[in-house]
Amino acid sequence: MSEYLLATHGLTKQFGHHKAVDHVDLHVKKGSIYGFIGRNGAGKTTFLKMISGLSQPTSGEIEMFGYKNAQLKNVRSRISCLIESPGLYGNMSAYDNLAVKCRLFGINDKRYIENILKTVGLSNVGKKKTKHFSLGMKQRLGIGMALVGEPDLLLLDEPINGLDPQGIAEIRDMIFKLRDEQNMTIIISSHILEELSKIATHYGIIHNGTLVQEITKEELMQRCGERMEIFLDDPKQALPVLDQMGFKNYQVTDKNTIHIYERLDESAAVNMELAKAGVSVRGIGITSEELENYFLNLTGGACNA
Amino acid sequence: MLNMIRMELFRMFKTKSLYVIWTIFAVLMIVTTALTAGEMDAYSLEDRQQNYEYAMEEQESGQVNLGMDVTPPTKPGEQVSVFDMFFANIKGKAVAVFMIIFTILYSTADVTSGFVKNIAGQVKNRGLIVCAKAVCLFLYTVLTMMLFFIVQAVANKLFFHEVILGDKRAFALYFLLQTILHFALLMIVMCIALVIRNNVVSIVIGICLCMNALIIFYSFIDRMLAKVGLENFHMINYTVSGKITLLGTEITSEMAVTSLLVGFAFVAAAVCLGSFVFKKRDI
Repeated sequence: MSEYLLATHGLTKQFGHHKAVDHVDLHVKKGSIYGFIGRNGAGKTTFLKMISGLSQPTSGEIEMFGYKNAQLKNVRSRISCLIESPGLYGNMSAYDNLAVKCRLFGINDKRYIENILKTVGLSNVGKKKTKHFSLGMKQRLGIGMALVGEPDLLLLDEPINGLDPQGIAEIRDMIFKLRDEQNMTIIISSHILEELSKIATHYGIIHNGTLVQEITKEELMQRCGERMEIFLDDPKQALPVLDQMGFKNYQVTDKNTIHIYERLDESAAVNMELAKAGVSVRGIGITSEELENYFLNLTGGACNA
Repeated sequence: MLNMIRMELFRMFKTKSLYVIWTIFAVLMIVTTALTAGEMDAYSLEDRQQNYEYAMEEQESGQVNLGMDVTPPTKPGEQVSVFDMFFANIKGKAVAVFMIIFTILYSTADVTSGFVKNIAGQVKNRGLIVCAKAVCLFLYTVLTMMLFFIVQAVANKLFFHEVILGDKRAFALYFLLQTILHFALLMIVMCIALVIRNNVVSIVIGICLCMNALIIFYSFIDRMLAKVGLENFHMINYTVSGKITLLGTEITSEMAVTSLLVGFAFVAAAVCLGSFVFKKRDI
């Protein structure tokens, strides 16, 4: 079995001539909280719909829990989702909405439903119809619906959209609780980077249907943290010099830039050694980057290297 | 599958529109009976004879009129039986209209509310959800017909002052066949609603089926077939709405068999098509 709980291989969804999702190879480890970042219309929802079985891929393959292709139907009940807005019967109470789904799983235990309501903080709503719920309450009930049947993989599409800061904090706590107490693997799509950065352990950045980058939280923090940035004509010439100086944690980010993430106080020495080796340095300095800028650089027309 | 049926049954009995439509239907049946009783009292024997002939005209001639009407086939001098009123309302598609409205609301509620997103990805075969809905709608059809029977009996007692069932054996057979034909009609309507995904248009189509609006199309087909040598073919005889209208009070075994075959054929076709579309279509 693969080390990943979920892996997609060349997953594509095409509507007419438009590829909403284009050859996405995504990898999610068990127990991780995977932040799926992308602008509106980037293909996040379409991708999640294919994973959750609501939509058929045009091409490509989904591998989950070691199953793929036609065998996927054996593990479909282990995946649950909250895609777009919560799907609720407005004329029913929260309890009844949960009871409908519980029947599909053969669950007739009243306490089971009450426990879910408690988990999502809706135990005191009584018989209030869901059409009278606030957006936050609906979102929480939507997550509660997704929890029926104890899924191993939970897909949440923009779960914090439209929520106030307190609502966002509640959802965040709930997600941690689910991961820690039920060992659930969670994929959350969002374009609110600041919030996602507080919970995600891994990130996938999608742009125009293409997965631009997959990165761990540590890697992202490193890239967004302080670094030495060197601008030069040919980075290849500088690499032997950096190796000779003992630098290990560096990266060529584009055809004119090298980022070094260690020994940031040695920029003068680096400059001198590069000059000695005949490497033309156009600029060198210490810089850091906001998460948002990092995302914009990847998706906003800047170089995607 | 059993769990899906349980889920759909729970949802159906929790649906407010079920009780609202049943209540309106019951009230309308009582009002219809009251109006009919008032008219019958005012009619002379000749008028009653004319009414009787009109009511029997369609089943004898095999011709179907456009629109809806409720005329009991009570012979002059006889008391109006429950069977007469039951027959008149069924033939007039008064029952079918209410059932169609509920069917469309119920069968598309999970899609229109978005609830289907909570369940469609987690089942092995999404098409079975449509089969579960069909089972529930069968129960709904039986319950509605029984409700109709009870309400009609009460209405007869109120406005005709006594409850005469009529020919019990013929009534039982008519009840059974009409239940199956109505269920087939509901399956057709459910299939249309699932395929076109528009409640308003689906209800309009459903009501047009009840009003026999398709007889123009059927006539066209009949003429085309007559031109290629297939004389005396009447397409209406092989449609569910046609069978509902044309099934008379005196049912021969041939009529019963063809009604059953037409009913089952349409149920099978509608459920298969609905399931296929629901399974293949993205949500």
